[in-house]
Amino acid sequence: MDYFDRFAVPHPSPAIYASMVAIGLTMIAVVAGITYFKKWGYLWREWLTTVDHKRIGIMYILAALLMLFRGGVDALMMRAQTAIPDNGLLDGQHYNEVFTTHGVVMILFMAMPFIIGLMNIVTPLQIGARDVAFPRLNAVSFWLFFMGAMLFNISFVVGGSPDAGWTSYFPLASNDFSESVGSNYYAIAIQIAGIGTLLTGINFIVTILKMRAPGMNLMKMPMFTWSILITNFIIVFAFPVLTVALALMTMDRLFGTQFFTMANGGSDMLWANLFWVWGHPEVYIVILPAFGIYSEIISTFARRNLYGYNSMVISMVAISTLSFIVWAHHFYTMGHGAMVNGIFSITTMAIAVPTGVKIFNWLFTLWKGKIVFTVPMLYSLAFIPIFTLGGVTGVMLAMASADYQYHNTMFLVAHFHYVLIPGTVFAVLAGFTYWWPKMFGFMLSEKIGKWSFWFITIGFNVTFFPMFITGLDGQARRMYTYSESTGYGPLNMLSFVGAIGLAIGFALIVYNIYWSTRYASRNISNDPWDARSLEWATHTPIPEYNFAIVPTVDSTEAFWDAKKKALNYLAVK
Amino acid sequence: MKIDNSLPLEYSTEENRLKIFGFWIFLGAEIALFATLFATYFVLVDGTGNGPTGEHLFKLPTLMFQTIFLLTSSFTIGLGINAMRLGRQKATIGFFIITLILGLGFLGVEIYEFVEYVHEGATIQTSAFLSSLFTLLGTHGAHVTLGLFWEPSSSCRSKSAV
Repeated sequence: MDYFDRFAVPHPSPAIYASMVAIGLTMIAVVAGITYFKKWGYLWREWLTTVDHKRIGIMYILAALLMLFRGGVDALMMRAQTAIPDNGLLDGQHYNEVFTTHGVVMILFMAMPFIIGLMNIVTPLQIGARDVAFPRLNAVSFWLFFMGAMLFNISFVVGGSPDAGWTSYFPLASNDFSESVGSNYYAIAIQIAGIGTLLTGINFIVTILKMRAPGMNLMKMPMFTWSILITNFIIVFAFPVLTVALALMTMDRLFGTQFFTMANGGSDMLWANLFWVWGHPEVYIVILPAFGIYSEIISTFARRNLYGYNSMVISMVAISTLSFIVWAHHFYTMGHGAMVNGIFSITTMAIAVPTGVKIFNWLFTLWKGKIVFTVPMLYSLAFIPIFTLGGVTGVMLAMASADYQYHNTMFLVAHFHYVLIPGTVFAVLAGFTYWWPKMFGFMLSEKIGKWSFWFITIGFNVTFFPMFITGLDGQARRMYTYSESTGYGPLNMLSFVGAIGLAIGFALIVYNIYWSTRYASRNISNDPWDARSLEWATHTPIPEYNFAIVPTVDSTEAFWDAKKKALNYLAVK
Repeated sequence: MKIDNSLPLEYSTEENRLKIFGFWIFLGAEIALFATLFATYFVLVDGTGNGPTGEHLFKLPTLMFQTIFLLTSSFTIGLGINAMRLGRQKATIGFFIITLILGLGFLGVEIYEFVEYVHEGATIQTSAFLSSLFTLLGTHGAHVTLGLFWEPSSSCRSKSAV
């Protein structure tokens, strides 16, 4: 029985038992519903066994949205717990589990699959291909990711969630200090999902390098496709490091090896190094596709060609190279000496240069443009100033000597949310709204979309800006409570209010999907935004083979130029 | 299926060209994987704790046998591919069988070596140095093992396709 005892929830609470019942009831309801509506055959044939890149992409996005709400509930619980001093809503252990799963779920099971979903749907269309290079492998990738995500989520009710932070530092994550099976879930679930991601990386590199439409040389590819190509190179070279790190972690926890132990020659710092050698490129894996999405959307709705195409490509290549040589800035305080800290400080600050080039290119694209304020464009425009704030605080954190003050405070938490939310979340929401009509044949309501945009943007700033201040005042991250005398109370309450605003914004997105599915007009053209790249050249809904006739390309904005010359890509030339 | 006879046999269809290119990218990922394992090994090589060091453990003859088997097998599989391109089926199969025997020989010596280490009290749990050594060698051995099954299975598949 000892073995099964390890899967008991370590600190059962009514909330966890209620979740168990809720999960059980939901599963019964789903199975009953599918049976009642006789949809098993449809589900099996059209979705579960599909190898069509568009449907796989939609499944990725669906899973990502589910995980967004799971991770979002974690976030709300944290903000509620810290809203007032000495709060007893969550105990310390529960809070540890919540911030750990929030981080893992949001990065690996929300941001990554959302990006990979859009990549799946859009990339083959943008390069005029009929599918990806290895469609069946693509389905394998999706199901590996999905099973990894589900395994990770089940830890919540079976055995307890991991509680050593999303970075899972040793020795904290060793058997001595994390006895429950939670950290085993971490090591194995992420491993499964990670292998799926690695296969995606290989698949899309081959697709983009080998299956482009005739005439589309590398420097004529749309910017989103460029960002995806570079991202997948990062995936292929960064994810093996994670694979090894997690395998070593698994062996340390299950087979008694000595990699990250404190005795017998082990090195706990080795884990921090391996984790961040993957972890920092990972940040760019979720941010570069976002840059690609913004490039598409900004040039579409400014009605101008993207400014500085070549410098956009060069800066992305520069960012991807730098992303591999900055990892130690995540643990300056761990003590690797002034020389090492100095070098990593410089490489880190260097990233601001190519990123700055991109920011200026977007601004120059907007300059003298005829800007149309659609929902995707609003997200893109809000991204520029908010992300810049995140970037500038990043340069502050990059200075190793000053970092001793900021390290592990709420200032850091504010910084990376200021980078990742406008950088990735705004981008996937913008991309989702932008490509929605291509996926489903109708538009999402602009009116509800604008409401959710304002709730999300204002809610985001109200939530995270106060953290810069409390962080500089010394509020530590990952602490489940604080005393009233610290004076952090009012600003933390403000953060909680902002978090509710964010929650309303995301709920409105769901309502928008429901409302638009019921009431939006199905009578739209193949190109409702008057856009520029090849995905808009084919029919809506997209036929399974994407293009009846593979288009020929002779410029970076092939479809736009064809429209200007009144050519019809669907007709036989 | 369009077959381009001007290219070597394995490149003659579009599907094969994509698969071979994809495999090259996969090999890139494998290089990153082994680089990480080597880095781990070099970080932990002095972390011997109370266990034996490499000088106590490593013996030249077994290492020599493994190296010779492995390098020769890379050569013979190259000869096999060449024979395949020349359309000489018997030679191809012959070289593949020699390669498999060399691979088996390598694995045999490696397993013998592991058993010896454990008998001397050097297990994967003894020290960080040994954890990383067994993991690095074991990962490589796992690759060779997979190849031992993959090679015959793909040969049989292409035989049934012909």
